[in-house]
Amino acid sequence: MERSGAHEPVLPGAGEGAQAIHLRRWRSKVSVDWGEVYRSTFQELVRFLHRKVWDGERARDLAQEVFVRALRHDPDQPRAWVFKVAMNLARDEARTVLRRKRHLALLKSESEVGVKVATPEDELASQERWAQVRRALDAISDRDREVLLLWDAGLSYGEISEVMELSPGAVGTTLARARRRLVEAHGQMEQEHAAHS
Amino acid sequence: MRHIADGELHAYLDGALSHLPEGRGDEVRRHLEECSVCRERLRDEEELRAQARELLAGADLEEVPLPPFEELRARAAAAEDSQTPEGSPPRRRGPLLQFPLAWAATVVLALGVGWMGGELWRSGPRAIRAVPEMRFEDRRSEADLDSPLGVNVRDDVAGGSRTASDSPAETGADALSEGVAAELTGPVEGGPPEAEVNPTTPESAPAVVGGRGVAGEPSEEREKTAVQEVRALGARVGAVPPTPSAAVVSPDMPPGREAMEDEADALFSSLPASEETSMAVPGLDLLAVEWEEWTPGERALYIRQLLPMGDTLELRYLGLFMGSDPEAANTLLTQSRAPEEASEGPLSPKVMEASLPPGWNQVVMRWGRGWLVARAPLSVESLRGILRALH
Repeated sequence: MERSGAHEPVLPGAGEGAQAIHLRRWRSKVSVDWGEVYRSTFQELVRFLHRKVWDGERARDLAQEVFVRALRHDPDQPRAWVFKVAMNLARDEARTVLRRKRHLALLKSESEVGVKVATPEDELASQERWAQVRRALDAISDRDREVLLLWDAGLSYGEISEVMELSPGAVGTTLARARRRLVEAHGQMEQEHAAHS
Repeated sequence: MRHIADGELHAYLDGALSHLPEGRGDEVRRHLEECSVCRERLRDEEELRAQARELLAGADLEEVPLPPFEELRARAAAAEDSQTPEGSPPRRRGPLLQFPLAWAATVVLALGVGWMGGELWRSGPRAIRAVPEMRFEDRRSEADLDSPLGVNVRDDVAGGSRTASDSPAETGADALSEGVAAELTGPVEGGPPEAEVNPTTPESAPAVVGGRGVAGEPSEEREKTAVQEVRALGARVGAVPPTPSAAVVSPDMPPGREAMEDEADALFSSLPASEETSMAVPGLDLLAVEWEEWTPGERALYIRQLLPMGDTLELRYLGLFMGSDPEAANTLLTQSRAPEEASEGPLSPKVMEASLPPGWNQVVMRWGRGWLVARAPLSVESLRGILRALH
């Protein structure tokens, strides 16, 4: 198959690429008490990550990784920064997991059988509730989910606007929509669940 | 006065009226006192907000124990250490670093593969030979973190060679792959403990990797040594450590898209183009190197690298063939598709473009006889800037 010409790299020439570089003047540093930020934010960060990756252990590892990076970079707006980085790591994680799942689906043997452990009924019901919330969260858009989780983690509108790259005035609108969609998605799950049982 | 928008009602409920445009917060308060319709709506929205709060609480995780802060500090400090440029003062000893350790292993393989890939493409199809198949998923979670780096890597390569038995490469334990295996296992065997890294002489690289005595050293020292060696290897294959992160990832930068673009542009303009072909962008931390195989024979080399602000750059090399059978290679190469023709394969650039996350862009370019698909949450121009650093 001849594929020359049409798809040669479309890269900028030396002239185009040689734009002036304006490195920002660094502001004088405000000292951040990272120990305090860590103690006050770590649990919320793990919760946030858990509801993005749905794996408690992984959420904890990722939260630690976020703080290791934060300590290295020492950003001025610590909470917005750690949640922003956590959000990006979780997105990346989700893609990796998705790829693995697809890969596994290809390799999966028919003999694989899920193991169900006998559980008391109330625990089952609680698990079912939990699963419905999870499905509802998964059903709404990434953006809706993220803004909800950031709000639930206790971030201010200012911090949410930093993380989500929204204007501060748009946070309320985004949150209002996301809350409605979550509640609606959950209502729909419940209806479907009731119809099946 | 106009009624209050839903978003403004929620800002009111969240105590965030100060974030509305100037003066609007006061208007909202006054309006709520006067307008019964909006007060009714406020009650509805309050109910909605409470429901959302309750649902989110229902998906809660039990509290996890707080790992000691000092442990993280030590990890951060040690990660800084591992990025110390060549020629800097002797490295301090630090605790065993899980992430840097895993990353180091990744970097060795990434650059090794990058180099081999470059060799393959430069040499043409006749030179295509067996390369150990590497099942190299995210090392951060799966590495045996207690093992010394050398052992990890060696196990990987050895295991990979065994698992390659279903490919045409089965009998192809040839000079190239053996050479790479020797490089990777070098540290375990030990070598001249004081062998110095010289990034400017490519021929010295195997000795470099095999050098820096390891046996008998504490594992943390061994691991950091490995990181330094990886960086030296990077220099050899055309990557450009030391990392520019200190200058480019501004600690003061608010995590905004525009700022990130600026920083990324500055970073990539400052990256020297490597003289040798490299498959990973010089100067950016490597996060993962994986083979993605979606259907038999259709495989991509996937490289993930760290951008400023924790975002990632994804590079996928499609149409690579790693095997010893020239016939099979030619067949596969001619079967690989051009982007606009590649509509059916799960690894096609077109399909990948359809799955781009919001805010991400994709650039496709020729790479040897295959394709490079680069994706990142950056503008197309910035992405192209990155790719310039590969050549």
